[in-house]
Amino acid sequence: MTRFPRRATALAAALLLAFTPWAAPVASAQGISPRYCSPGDQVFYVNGVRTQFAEAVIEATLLQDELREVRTPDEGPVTVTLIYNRTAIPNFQAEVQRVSPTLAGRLWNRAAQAASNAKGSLKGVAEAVAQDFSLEQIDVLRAWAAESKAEYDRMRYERRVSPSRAAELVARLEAYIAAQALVVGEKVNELADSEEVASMTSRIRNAIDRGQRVVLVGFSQGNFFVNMAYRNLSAEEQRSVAAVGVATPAREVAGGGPHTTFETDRVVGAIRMASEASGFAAPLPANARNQSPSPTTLSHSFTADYMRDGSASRTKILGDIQAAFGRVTPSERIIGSGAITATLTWGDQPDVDLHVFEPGGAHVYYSAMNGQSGTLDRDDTNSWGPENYVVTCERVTFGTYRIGLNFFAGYQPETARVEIRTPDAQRQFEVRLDQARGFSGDQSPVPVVNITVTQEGEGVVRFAIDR
Amino acid sequence: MARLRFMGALGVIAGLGACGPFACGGPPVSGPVPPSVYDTTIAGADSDNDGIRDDVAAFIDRTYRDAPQAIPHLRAMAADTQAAITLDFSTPAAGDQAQQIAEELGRTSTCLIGRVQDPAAAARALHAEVVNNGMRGEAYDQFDTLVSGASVVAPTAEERAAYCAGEGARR
Repeated sequence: MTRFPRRATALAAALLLAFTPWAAPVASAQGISPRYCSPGDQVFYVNGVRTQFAEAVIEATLLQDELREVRTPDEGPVTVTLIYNRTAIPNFQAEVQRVSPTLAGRLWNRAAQAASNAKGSLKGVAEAVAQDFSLEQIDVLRAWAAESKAEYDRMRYERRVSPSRAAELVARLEAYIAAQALVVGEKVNELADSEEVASMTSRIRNAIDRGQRVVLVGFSQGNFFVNMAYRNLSAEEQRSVAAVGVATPAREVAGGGPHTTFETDRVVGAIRMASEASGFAAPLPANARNQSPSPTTLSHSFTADYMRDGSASRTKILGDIQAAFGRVTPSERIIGSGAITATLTWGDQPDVDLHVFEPGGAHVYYSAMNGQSGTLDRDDTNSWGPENYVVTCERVTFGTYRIGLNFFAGYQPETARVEIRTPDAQRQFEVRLDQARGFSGDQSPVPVVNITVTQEGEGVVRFAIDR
Repeated sequence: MARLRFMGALGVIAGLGACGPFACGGPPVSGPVPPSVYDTTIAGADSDNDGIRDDVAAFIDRTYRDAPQAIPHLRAMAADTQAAITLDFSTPAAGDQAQQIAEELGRTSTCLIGRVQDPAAAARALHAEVVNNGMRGEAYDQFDTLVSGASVVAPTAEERAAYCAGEGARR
């Protein structure tokens, strides 16, 4: 469901964008797969909270496998890209107290009272909980229930706890999740400025610029990010983008898209309870049934519950995504789909130049704008940029493209930004430039990044971006 | 009504994420607390210096003895996660290093698909073994913060086959 964004740290800003040069199939030694030169449809999957990085990658990969199974050849390829959002919740308790100490306290007390009164069927539930304790259940307790490290560690490895203890933990968790919803309810608008949303928006725009149809799939908390990223787009851009919500805690799906939420989804149910208590907007209503018994305790797993093999929810979600593609239209302002693109921007100092040393030895810069592989589009000498170096799919060659900068003319230190896009990756680098070097810097530009194109086995190419 | 609400609030039981080892059929964790939980260092014991903590290596071997095809990938993931929590977060290079670790971790994790019954649950269970106390959890949170916002293109089955037979089986 929730995580609480902080303003970007310098380090996080440096990591702003994407990575992961997956090995990519190619049609020939000198050509890139049609997957990239004619990239087809694009899904951006945004994970829920408390989903570790590796899990989230697996979820996105399984979704891609499922979509490829249900699509016909006429529908062309589809690629799923994960936009990861973190599990870490910095300063959570302080945030809860700051946002609503009274309400958090009330929820806590109510839950604690219910737990202390546990008997009858509730005790049976508590016993079931006790018998089904798993790692993450205890892990969630870390913020609220672990009075000491030793206690936490002990609980974490005990499969069985007493029914009364289980009821107490459940009660505390109720307060935990409700309070978490409260924090998000207040802070959700701040997501618009988060690193995750910035990353998403940039990736979506790049896909639009490549002429792709885009569907955003949010799971649980990921729906907040999807909604915010969608709002960052212009009306024209939104025509190329649709959204699909799964287990959404939000009150809407961007662009009026469909959603799937189980009646038995206990996480969304708890959020709904918190919203009723707090006055924050309630999540969209439940509209689907998980199979009985639920594969998971919470009925809130993307892969095990919502996308379970043979389930109606899986069919609905895949159908929603497919239908969403039918509602959007590719952009008419396609900028291009180069195999490699390097874009330089900077501030108000007059002249920073982009330099590229290509695998074949060519040095591409303002005085030699056409290389053996790529082309520099312009030489901006009046501040800001951009300058773009583009290698088309047809002209990319194996080897290393070395990207550098020369601070040609200026009177004060400058910060330049270089954004690298390859078929599978997008990264942004900041470079501090202290002093203009003029012509003397042309032959020894400041190194920024290397892009190495290699063949990894038959028909597979890898783009590695290394600083 | 109060009871119904409370029953509904069972939704809080496992937080907001996904299923866990029990709920999704992953490997159970029970028995005595492993000594590594009480380690006084984040790194813990790695007697053969292979980047995988001794207790984690034992967990993988014990839990997946019937799925040997998954073991090299699980070991690689364990090494990546161990690298993540032992990063020196005080240095400017931590961001790039975290990114590289996440890249390898993400790629390798997809090798579990088709090799274990529930790859997401297996990844989660392995993570819990490596990040098995509060100190390691805090370290992982720092890593997690550094990689938040990153994007990963899902590999196709063809790409996974090439990677998992080569670099993805490096352990």
